[in-house]
Amino acid sequence: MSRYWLGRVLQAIPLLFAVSLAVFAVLRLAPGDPSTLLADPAYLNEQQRAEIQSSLGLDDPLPVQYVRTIAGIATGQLRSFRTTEPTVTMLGNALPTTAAVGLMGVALATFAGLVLGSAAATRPGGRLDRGLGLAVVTAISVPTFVIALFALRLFAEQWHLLPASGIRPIGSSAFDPLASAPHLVLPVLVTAFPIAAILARYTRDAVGEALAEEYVRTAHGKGLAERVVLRRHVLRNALIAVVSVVGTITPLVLGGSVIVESLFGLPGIGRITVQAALQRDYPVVMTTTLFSAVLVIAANLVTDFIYGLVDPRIRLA
Amino acid sequence: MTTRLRATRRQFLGYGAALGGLWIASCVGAAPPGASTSSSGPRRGGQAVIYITHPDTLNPVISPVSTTIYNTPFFYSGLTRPADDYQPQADLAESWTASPDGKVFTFKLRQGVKFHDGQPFTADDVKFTWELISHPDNVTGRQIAGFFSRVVGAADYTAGKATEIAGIKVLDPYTVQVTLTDVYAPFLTISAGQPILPKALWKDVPVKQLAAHPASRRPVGTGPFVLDTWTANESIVMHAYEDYHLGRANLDRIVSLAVADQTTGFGLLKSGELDAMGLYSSVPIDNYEELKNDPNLEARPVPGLANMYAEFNLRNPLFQDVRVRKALSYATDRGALRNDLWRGQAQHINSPIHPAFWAANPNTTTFDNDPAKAADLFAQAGWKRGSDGILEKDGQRLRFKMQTIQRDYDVVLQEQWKKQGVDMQVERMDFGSFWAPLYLQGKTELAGLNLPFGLYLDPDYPLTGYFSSRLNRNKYKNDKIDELIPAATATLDREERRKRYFDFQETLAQDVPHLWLGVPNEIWGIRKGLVIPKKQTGYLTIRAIKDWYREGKS
Repeated sequence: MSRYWLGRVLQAIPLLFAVSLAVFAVLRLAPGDPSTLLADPAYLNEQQRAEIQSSLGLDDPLPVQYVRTIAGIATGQLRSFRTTEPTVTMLGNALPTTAAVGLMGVALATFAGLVLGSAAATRPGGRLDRGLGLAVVTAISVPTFVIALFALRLFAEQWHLLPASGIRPIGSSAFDPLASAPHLVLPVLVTAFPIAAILARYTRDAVGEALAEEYVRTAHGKGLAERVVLRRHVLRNALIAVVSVVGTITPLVLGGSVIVESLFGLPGIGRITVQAALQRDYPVVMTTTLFSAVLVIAANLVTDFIYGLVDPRIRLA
Repeated sequence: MTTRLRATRRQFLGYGAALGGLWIASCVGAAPPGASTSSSGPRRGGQAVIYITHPDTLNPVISPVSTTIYNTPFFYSGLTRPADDYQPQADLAESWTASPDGKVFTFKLRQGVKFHDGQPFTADDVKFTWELISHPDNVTGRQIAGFFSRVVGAADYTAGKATEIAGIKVLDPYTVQVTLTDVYAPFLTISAGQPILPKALWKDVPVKQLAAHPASRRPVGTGPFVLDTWTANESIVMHAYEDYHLGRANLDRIVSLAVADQTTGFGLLKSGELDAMGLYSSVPIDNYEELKNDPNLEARPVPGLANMYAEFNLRNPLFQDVRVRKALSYATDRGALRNDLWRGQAQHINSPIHPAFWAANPNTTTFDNDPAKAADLFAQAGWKRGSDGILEKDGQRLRFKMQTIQRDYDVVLQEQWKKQGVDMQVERMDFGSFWAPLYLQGKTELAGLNLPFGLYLDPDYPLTGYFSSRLNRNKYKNDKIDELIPAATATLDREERRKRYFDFQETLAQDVPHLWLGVPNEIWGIRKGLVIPKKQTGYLTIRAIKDWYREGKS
């Protein structure tokens, strides 16, 4: 068993290598030139451009640059072209925001999805079930940024209920969870909404299937209360299908953070990645995408591990 | 999306970067000033929350990019500062004299000025800063060093052949003398206006490490505000410098928010979280009506800093005939662009000199919107309508491509020109794909872009790079233009300079190597209660930061 998990972890290494190579290649294939960030491109002449390129190490052979980038990330010495801050520091500064919004969003979505999904399954075709169907279609077909813009328009601009931007009160740089809470409400809701809808849908189907199983009929037959049947027999069996979905939402949250953080002015990983990509700040993009890749791979490992916990049949000998 | 979820978990990798493309904000430019109507006079106190795009660094000597240029005046001062008419005004220099031949400037410095860290400001700081700008290792500062290239000995210093710039002399702690190789009028505005750094703080920092030095993010200058905190992607917070040599600012505190884009910024303005936005962060034109109709907000358009234009690549035989270029100009309805595309919030000047400048001639000839003349000129040049209505000459159709980074006027031009029998294809590109690989290589046909202008304090700045035959990218060459550009900086007499610039503008207009289409306004949105003096441009508005104030109670 432990050999199996060790193998899974080792498999991640070539995967990360492939991801880093792919990102590196995509960045370099994208037209554009980081030296235009550091000078006014309109007035940049060829010699000045060459000097800046050379000061950024962009005139070295690509393999050298690749190795230097990876080594720089590993040692924390890699610096942003634009701000010259170490990219690892930038990542570290941005992580708490993304993690807070992402984790709270997933937690909320999981809770809401399970509750709504199982409630809908017990009354198939009922009002809640039909409402859920509509909500799911909406959540899946309306892009996050539209939902976010609507939320901003209503809650911040129209009703002045919640702040529209930032992670803490304007002008404050101290960390204070209470003061930050109102700033997190909209981003967390917007993050949670599509995930909750998807989870609810999965839960509804899984619970629906489980409800039709013979052991459920047996449980009813031996006189167990509806609530007990649901919790002990149905939900537990349905959970396995749901867990597999939870595992897939890590990349969804990370991808969504790009939009959520940009719209709500949150200083998170998604936002710095977008900025860096637009400005061809290669070191920052490399650092944040590799970090995201590690996160996604780790989330998958954890998901597989949790399978075993929820369903002993899947445990590996 | 559900099916993708089932399919594979890993395909979402890099999803983020792809979505980033959504967020390329469209930029809108600026318009004319009006009169102030505040009843109560300036009072001291209060704060302003503003949105101007954050810089990458607050070290002005290494960064000639616009975000640095308009973020540093909060913290730094130069020897001179611009008056509303762009005449140089006393700042760290109390006064100056020019030698009769115009090549030697002697600056008398203000005494008793202290940097934010308490160190006294002296002539050594001036020489040090100007040499730092021109230092051989300061590769990102080369464009700023260009403003000092006419100082005697500067070229040798930048080339590493000298240990100092011989032409910059510290005569005593409060007198600096600069000797130039030629008369260069922008020296008093642009060069002498460069922010001065404290020598004591920077003298031991290797020039290659200037950018990474903490003080590049924590500026120490002599400007009206002192930095409190700069939290990346969040805010820059600053407070008024009590000992500011031009008088303490009215506001106690300024918070400059990092805002993702202008649409988000406008939302913040509406929700009351922002007090002002505008400089390089114009209120989107789509929100202009809403801004105007909001009783709590003031809409203030000023002329923007981008002159939208199309540039003919004269390597292309199609464009070598001036009659064709002129005909295309006549085929262009700039009024429609202004009114429909820019909703009236733009102005057309047939010139690359910013309308706020004393050198701009609003009456430069324009060949605008005259279909009959367009048709006539095409005919003179030998182009006749073919069976499908497209102009033809010797079996060749008048068909070309416009590679453009402007995603607004391109299709309007296409439509307008089609009526005249011109078949233009539009290829929209992002800046990175367009600029270095195509435009700088001279590989565009018709280039759609904008001329950034009006940010520097002298009309000379964009001219050499864009219009001299030595540096331009479209192969345009007119000896008179090549003479007029340097001639216009070779006298300190502003009237004489104006004449040369007028001549330059008219000569260029007659050659039509470019089609100037319009300067969209930069629209400031200001929450009532914050009073911001009216200035000709957004940049001058920022330069007046010390005079901003809050009405009534804070």
